[in-house]
Amino acid sequence: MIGVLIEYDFMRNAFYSALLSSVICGIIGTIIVEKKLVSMSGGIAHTSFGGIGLGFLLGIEPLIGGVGFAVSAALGIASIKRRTSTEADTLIGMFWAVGMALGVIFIALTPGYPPDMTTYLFGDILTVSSRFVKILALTAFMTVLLSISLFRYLKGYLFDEEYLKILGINTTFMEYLLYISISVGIVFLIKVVGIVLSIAMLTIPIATAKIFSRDLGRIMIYSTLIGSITSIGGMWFSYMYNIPSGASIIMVSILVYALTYPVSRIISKKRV
Amino acid sequence: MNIIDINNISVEYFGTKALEGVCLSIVDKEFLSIIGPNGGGKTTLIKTILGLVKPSSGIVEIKKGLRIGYVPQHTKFDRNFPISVHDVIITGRIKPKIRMFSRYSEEDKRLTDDIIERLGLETLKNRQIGELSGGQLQKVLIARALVTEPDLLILDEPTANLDAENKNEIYKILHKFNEDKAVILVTHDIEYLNNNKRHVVLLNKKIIYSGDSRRNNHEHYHGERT
Repeated sequence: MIGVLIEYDFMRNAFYSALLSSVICGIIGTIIVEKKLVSMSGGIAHTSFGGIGLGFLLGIEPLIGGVGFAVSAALGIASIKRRTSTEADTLIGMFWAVGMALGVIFIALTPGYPPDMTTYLFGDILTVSSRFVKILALTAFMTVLLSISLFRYLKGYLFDEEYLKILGINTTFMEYLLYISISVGIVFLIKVVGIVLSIAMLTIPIATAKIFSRDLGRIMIYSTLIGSITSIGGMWFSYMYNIPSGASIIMVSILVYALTYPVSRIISKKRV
Repeated sequence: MNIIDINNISVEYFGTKALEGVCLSIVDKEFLSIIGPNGGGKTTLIKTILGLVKPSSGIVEIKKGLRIGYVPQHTKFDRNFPISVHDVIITGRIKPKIRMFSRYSEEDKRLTDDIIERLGLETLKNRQIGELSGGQLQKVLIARALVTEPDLLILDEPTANLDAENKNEIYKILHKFNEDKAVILVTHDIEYLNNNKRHVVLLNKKIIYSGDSRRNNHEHYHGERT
């Protein structure tokens, strides 16, 4: 494996993106799992498809359109929920479907041959460019910096945002910061595992990490490590057996989760 | 001296009236109990005092510099959230201004340890909240409010779903606090109110009844009586 890594640029890029996206997933994933924003994140990921389509139509980088749509979806859901009596759950469903529909329309309107959308729907880690690796590195760095430097606010916000508001903390700022970070993180993840599968990267490593720890910071670190191992493992399977990378990464992570749970049960029983 | 004056407050949620023309004053060092049916606006009233809910009309005047400690209901929490007892309590000391890499001061830590000791939570200090009983979690939430050094403590049904022993422990903490500071207690515990004569307000969108059973000077609103 190391030989292949040194020899091929695309393998090296894939390796770096696997590591970097695991960092993003470990932190953002823990936040969305603990704040119960999993379905919201699914909605954000799917809404971004509209932006990707728009990107193709306008001839700009599709992921830029994706980020625009994802951020608007997150902030839109949050602000509509605050102003009307519509449930967040319903809004998420609406954004989800409308985003996908817009994407399909924009792509149909794009002149020339229709672009191949499978990369965006299911991801392809083996075609990641070195420019994208740099963007991913910057995103991962920002995510780590923000979560470490604001950790106690983050923890307080996730546990009981109402209380932080009473203490006079600007929770609206916290909410926006959080939603923007989640949206940006998810869109860059699309390149690696795709829209449909991104939610798995944000939940499976965290669920596995939670078997080992009940401390917020540790869950973030453990899920980053578990995510790194499973995504590199999955990428390797994808290369060896020529199967799509997104799906193989997810199958490896769910396998690790499925094996970890009974093993940890046996270990904890022995201790008692 | 009044520490809070609520003047003719109405609150609406998407067209439904939650509170209608509520007037109420809270005197320093008093112990006010608010009772009323579910959906009668008890929680809305305290959220309005806390500034979490904006009244559609009327104003809440709060004495300048008054520090309010709030204790939410323990049942509304996600018990699986990964946070320790100590970390919940010290959150009360978090500074309002968001700064990167801010740390808790020595004083914050000392105050937290003091409260933990005073409420007898030392053995639970490093436990995760998921490992606590309802009564223990309620005490932790009271500790988080006390660590802010409040002049007024507002509690939303702190004894809901608790057994007699835990209830008494909570009341003991409140009575101690009430020796020199004010308390607003939202409660369904009629038995407790019967045994402890004090200022009680019955709220069902409006104030239906307000009376101080210690002084026996009942005031009736809107001619209704319960």
